[in-house]
Amino acid sequence: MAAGLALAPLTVSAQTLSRLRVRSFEMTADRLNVKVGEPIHLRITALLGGRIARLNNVTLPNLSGFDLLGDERSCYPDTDGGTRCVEAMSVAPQQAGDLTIAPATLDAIDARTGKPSRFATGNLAIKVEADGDSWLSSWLAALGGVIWPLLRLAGIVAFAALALGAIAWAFGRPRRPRPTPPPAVVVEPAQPPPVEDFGLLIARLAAEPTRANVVAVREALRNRIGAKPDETFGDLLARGAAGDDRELLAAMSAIERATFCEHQRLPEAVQDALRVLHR
Amino acid sequence: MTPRILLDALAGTVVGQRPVLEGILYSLIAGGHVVLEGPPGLAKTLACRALASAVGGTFKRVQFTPDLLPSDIVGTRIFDQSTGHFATALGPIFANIVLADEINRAPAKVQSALLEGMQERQVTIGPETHPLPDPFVVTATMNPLDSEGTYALPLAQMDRFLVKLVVDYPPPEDELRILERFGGEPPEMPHDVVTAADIVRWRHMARAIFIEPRLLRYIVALVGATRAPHAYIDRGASPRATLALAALARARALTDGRTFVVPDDVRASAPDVLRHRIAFNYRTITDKVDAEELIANLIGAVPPP
Repeated sequence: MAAGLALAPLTVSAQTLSRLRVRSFEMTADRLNVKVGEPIHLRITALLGGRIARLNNVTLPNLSGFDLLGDERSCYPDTDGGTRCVEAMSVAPQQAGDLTIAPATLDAIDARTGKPSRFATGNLAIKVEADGDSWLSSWLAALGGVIWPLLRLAGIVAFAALALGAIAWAFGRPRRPRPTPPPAVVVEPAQPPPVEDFGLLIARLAAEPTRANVVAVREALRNRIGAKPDETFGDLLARGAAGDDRELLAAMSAIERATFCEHQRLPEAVQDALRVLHR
Repeated sequence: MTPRILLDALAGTVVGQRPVLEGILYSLIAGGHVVLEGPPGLAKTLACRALASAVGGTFKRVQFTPDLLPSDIVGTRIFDQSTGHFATALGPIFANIVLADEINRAPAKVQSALLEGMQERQVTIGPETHPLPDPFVVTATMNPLDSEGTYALPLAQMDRFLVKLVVDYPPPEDELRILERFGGEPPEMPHDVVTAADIVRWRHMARAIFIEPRLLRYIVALVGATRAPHAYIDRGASPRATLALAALARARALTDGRTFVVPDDVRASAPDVLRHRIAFNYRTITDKVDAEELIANLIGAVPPP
């Protein structure tokens, strides 16, 4: 989907042209098959030797048949001491058919020869389908009236042969005992951590009221009520994760406070949380 | 005296628009400036007036136009014939709450004059430097519908605003209440609900609000998510956004009566802090991408602690 550099001598005045060492000049499109109205992102990229701030004398291709949705131009240093200038354009075709985007050109004095030159990208051929149409329907339509009846007849014959074969096989095959179905696989629902583990975490928190132990209890509590990783306490309240269980709600609230409160208030917050958790 | 009282007083004048009122209050507490974006007639000016009246401070409104001059904002020096000396006439920027209406209608030099004052909190007129009053909050409005004849604020200038609040049309039930409440009568303003000293005190309290280290990392991750390579984003938010997000989360926690920040404070504050600090490229327009949805997805992709 790229069309690259072509070079031709330029006969126009060279007084306004920049002296450039053009390494490549090409035009690319992110896709060449689109429907009417769908955006195509075109990039005209010039790789130049040396550092330059802006690129003048670029003639953009004639975009008749396309709506220009937006464009931007930027030049930035390349890794090898050169400059990469990119003209990015978004266009949308107005009608179906095979459209051609003519080459973009860059007029400059070629630093290698010292002569004014015109650098050109290649053409880009864009295939545009009518909106709502597909390649399959187009292809089927192209089959025409002659091929289609033949294909249909061949299909009927093939179907009849397959049906006869299946009947013969069904009556002729040796009988085998009916296999017993395998036992149904019972998917165990995700279980919350065992009560002993949760109790252990609470006991550990009571023994060592550290932030890490609070976080461990909070994680266990969140697992018990099926909290997703991206859900905050506010989300859990909003979707009623605790149901009508006021004790659970109080426990969640107390643990949330202990998780995020100031260091000096941590012991007090942990004691509050433990009181609720023990209930 | 808690910030909640001020919020309730504002809600008594402005029908609905609760997120906007909260955003203005949080910015006031965080010591930042606000830009309000929304179509005309959505109570943007009323909200600012109500805030000024409720705070008991001074309020000035400047209608930005293409022919506005910097001296129309900051003030100028006038020759007094009776004394034979130059006297300084202070401009409308010298108020507690300044409403810069349609800020993008004035050229860059006028915007710069205002934004310099916003940043430095002082203005130099001739040889004299004048400090701006405390609290000093600029609420700027922008109409997103009429872009002809406007001068878009560059990203660097938008970054000076702590938050950008999007004001949307009210739901029908709120609009019915607007009809009932303002049927011909001018809206009743809340008067001196709090003082400027209360605001300064809240600011001190907000600075002391605790943010747990895991939440600090969450804030950094949220802002960092805007800088990751993205098809629709040219540049992400700056470290100023990181500071702004922490400040706004603290203000939210204070208003909620807490002395510490929780993940909900950070996540709820993030869209207001980030939406004007991200440089979206032109593809968002050509591909008809909703920037608000894009920001919501960026925020949603970072799991809270």
